[in-house]
Amino acid sequence: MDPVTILKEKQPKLVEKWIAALISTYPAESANFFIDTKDPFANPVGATIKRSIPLLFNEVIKEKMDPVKVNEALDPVIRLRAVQEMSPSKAVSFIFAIKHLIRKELEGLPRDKKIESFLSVFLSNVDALMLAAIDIYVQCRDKVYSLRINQAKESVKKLLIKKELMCDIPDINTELQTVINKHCTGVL
Amino acid sequence: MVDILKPKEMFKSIDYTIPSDRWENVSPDLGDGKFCYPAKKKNQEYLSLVAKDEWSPSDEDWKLPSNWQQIIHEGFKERLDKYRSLKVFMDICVRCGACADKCHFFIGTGDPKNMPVLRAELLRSIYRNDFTAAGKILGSIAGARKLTPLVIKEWFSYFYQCTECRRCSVYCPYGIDTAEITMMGRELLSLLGLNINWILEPAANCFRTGNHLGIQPHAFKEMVEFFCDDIETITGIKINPSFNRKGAEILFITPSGDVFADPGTYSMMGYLMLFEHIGLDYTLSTYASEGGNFGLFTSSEMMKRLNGKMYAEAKRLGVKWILGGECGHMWRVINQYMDTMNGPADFLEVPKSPLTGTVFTNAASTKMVHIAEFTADLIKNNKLKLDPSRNDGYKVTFHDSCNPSRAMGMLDEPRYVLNNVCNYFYDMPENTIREQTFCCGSGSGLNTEEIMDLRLRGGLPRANAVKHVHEKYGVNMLSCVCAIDRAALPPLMKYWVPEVGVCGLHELVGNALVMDGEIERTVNLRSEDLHEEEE
Repeated sequence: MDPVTILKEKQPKLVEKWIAALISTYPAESANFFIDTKDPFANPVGATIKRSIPLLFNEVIKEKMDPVKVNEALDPVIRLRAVQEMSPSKAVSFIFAIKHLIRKELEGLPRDKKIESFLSVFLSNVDALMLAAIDIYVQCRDKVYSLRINQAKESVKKLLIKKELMCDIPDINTELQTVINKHCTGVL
Repeated sequence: MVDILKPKEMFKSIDYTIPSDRWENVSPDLGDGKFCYPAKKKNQEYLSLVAKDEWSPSDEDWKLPSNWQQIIHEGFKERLDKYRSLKVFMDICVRCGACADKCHFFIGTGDPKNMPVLRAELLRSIYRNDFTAAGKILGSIAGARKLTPLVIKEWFSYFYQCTECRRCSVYCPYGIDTAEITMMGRELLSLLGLNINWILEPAANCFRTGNHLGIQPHAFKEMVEFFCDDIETITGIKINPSFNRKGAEILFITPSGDVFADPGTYSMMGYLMLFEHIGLDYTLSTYASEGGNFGLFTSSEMMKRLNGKMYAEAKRLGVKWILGGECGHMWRVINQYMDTMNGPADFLEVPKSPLTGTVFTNAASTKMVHIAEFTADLIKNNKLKLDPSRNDGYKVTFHDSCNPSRAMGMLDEPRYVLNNVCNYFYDMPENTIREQTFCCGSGSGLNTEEIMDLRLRGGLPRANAVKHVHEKYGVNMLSCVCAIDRAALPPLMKYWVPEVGVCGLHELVGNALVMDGEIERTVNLRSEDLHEEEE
């Protein structure tokens, strides 16, 4: 039997287990809240996870993953975990949990060619997911650092400009371009 | 909406596993990036607070004074005697858990000590140990624990992970105000010289120059005049506001962020245009040049001193009443504490709109009116000509700032104004607005860059609701009536929903306001082309 068909049948159960593996990285007292509270506005973390994991599951068992869909599913979860006080490895570790879950699901089946070839594609899909997750994680951290720097910079910039202690490069309009052309062309 | 589980679901959700360790034994994480920087000694000295030499929360030994336990015990006792509410809050909690999942920091972090009930328990456990018979005799069985240096570290970590937004209080069946518990916790820490700089520096600046940012009187005046130049360019109308003018009818006080930081500056332009258009007899003060009150985040004494300054200035200038700008916590101070601290302001008159004759009886004692109420009243009485199409480039939603909504119940006035000044206004989901509003994640003095991660995860529930209206209605502008929001929401949006900008209410009013004698407007207050936006 085609492994993809089997896994699709078992999808709800496998997705639930994958979500549980992800949630287990949070303190036990909050795990219940993330799982049980259904209102997406009262529980954005749980809602994001529950929205993203089924989408990721769909992709990871495909012959060829759609990078756009992968990014759409992965970005919200990684964006969360990038600011949740955990190490980078812990933030992305949940991706590997699906390897164990799917291997276990296919364990009892005879190892035919179909299974072997599925597993080979599946494992490289998981690797690709991990690489994509690392990219997103780093982008998010870069964003946090730039927000930190800009808060300090922007908080004084306007005042300095208004007080004429510094000035910004103006937008180049036709008038200004004429001045530049007249005075600066050929200078260098 | 609170999820009501069916009995089967409820049984299924019970977790019988015993936590690996008791919460008391879990140490707070005070690594770099996990705490606000401590206050500089000079700022503590300037405010006559206990001045502590330079230290870092990441230090193993905080070098507390030798009698620190006695200081905390006596400070706690003094406050229990002084505030009946504190004693009630310490005794009455039945740990029902209604507040547990309502805190934006818990929702965003999943850290159990960010459940309001457990955050309060950090203080309650010491209360039981020191002040209750059961706690003294039964110890940990009665939920008591000894005061150790670790407890102080825990207080510092978690009382500075609470924005005093009071969302949890809305759900408490006993009405326990957890923000006041945080306030008491911070006061006690302050007795040991444990303060954060982001709060004390603005408070010290406010003391010295009249505002948080340390803007001196001449610079304050010049900044306002710069705005008037911009307004003239945009509308063709020259405005000459007065400063420190004795005998004006109204004193206008707004957060200094409106004079200094974008996008608050556009709201400042909106106020100036509105006042000019209606011919209001008002003045600005370079002495009371701050609406915000960072004393609220330090101690009641500091709050009283900073609040007193505004009223002293109103008295000195001989105005009839005070009009207040778009500020958040200023309104909590005015509505909930001013009267007890410095009131009643009998030397002022009950505010009455000179344009409509409306008497603001809600401010009968404090004599201070919120500008959203004032403007809503003007619109209701047809005193303003408005062209909402000038805001057509914006699809707007409204963030109820915690304090104006929960501390003064101002829920409908800003929406009434918005519905009149823009054509596209969409509210966020019910359980994220009005009295259930989610905090920006940076209130109560936590708007500092060193804890950006904490602010971003604390602001997640707010950002999540904005994302929803962005995806559903194409919302691209988040309006609000608080200067801290205007500083905190832009980075929050840039991280979670980068397509959405942030503005103040009166920026939109300024855009829509058709002033007598104005030239044809081609740009909005941000100098963005109006017609381009409409495309």
